[in-house]
Amino acid sequence: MALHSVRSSIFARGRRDAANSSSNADYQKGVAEYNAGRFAEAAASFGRAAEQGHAESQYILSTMHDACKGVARDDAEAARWERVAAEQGHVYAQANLSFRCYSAGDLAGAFAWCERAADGELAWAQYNLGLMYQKGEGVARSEAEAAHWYRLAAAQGFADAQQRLADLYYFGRGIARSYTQAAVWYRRAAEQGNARAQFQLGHLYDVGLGIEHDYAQYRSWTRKAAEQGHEEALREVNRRDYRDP
Amino acid sequence: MSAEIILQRSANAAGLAEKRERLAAVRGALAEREADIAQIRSQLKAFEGQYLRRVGVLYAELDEIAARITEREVDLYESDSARRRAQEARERAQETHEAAFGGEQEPEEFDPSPSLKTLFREVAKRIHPDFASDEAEQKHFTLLMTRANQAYSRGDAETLQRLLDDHLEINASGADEGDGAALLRVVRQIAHAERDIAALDGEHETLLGSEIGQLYGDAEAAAREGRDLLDELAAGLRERLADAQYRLEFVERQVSALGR
Repeated sequence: MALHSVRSSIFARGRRDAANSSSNADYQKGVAEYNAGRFAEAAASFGRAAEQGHAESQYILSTMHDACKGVARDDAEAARWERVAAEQGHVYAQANLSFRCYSAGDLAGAFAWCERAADGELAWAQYNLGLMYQKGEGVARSEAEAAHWYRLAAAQGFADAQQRLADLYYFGRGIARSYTQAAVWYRRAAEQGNARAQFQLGHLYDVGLGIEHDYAQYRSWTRKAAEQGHEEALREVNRRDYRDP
Repeated sequence: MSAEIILQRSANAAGLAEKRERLAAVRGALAEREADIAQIRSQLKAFEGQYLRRVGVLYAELDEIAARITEREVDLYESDSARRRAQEARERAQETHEAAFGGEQEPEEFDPSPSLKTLFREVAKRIHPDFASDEAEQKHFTLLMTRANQAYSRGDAETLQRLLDDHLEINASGADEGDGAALLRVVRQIAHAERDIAALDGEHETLLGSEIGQLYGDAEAAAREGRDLLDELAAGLRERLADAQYRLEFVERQVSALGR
């Protein structure tokens, strides 16, 4: 019966959440050992919790194998625990697995795991999913979809996503062009130190697009971008008319 | 000649007495198994109700808020993936709601088919405790009658048919039976009881191996450590609910800021 299978899944969900409870004794022991710098013991404790199905422990164990903390570096073990945790819905493990797929050239796998992590509200994954849509990696290229995912990550305060969203507004790619919106998002990213956003915001102040022209603001933001080594900003700062208005 | 016959009889009689003892033991074990299973079933039923009331409703609430968030995100910014996400989240919320609250519906009215009624009557008139020949048989008939009543009320024709077949097989030798026929009868009864024990053991395993059975096992293990698993699950879910509520309000503020 349909109700039976739905019931069964609501029970399974409770079991999964119960298994992943932070009250897991081995997990707690592992955290204490890790914080005390006793990595080998921590790895053993996390290993026991991981065997019990504790997703957070599985994830930590995989990162310890990646970073050879308390255990020998072991890509196969790292990948195995990462996948187990990812399949249990651990978003960080999903994001790491997506990156592992990407590095191995498996774009379809990278996209699928990135999408699951993005659905789990992870800003980094939402941003990367936007990038994959924009570049057409592992999925058909779509700047409209890219804009959607950049926006979700941007709303969470992810600076690179704010800058990418602003770019799409600036060029009118995937969404209707709006210099006002571009200025709004460039500013948020610029305030977080994103060099391209700082340069672009300076440019918008210079030409008065989306915001009122303001020479002092133009100079200030362009200089900030140049200080970070942004090439166009450096050329701009070195230009004669910039030095002697 | 006659001495040989007497010897033969007494051997048969001794075998019969031994088999009758064995039958009584097996039937005793069967009755115990039935009581165990009935207890497990009612414990799981009660636990299921508690779980759905204390935890299931929170999952339903969480999925409802998640669905609303994705729907607001569509308002905020239209795209195919936003719409697909919202649709999936809505379906999930409906499923969880159904799972958490579906059990509160009234059970369907009991309306047995005429053929089931006839079958039940055929079984009942053969195993009614009032017609038992001795005390042991009366005890066994009471057990069979309980089983027949349960099978009838859940419309389980298969079990009723098996009860009838068992009875017919046992009594196939007819009314006028010597020790040999009686022995055969008892051997069959032992075989039936052993088969039923095996079936109950299978059901026992299935019950404890089911998702709810395992969750019940986890809760019992936690209780032995002085923990309340359902409380812990509910507390974790309330934290996630607060987080989800915050995200919903955040998206709603964005929507109203855009004036959509």
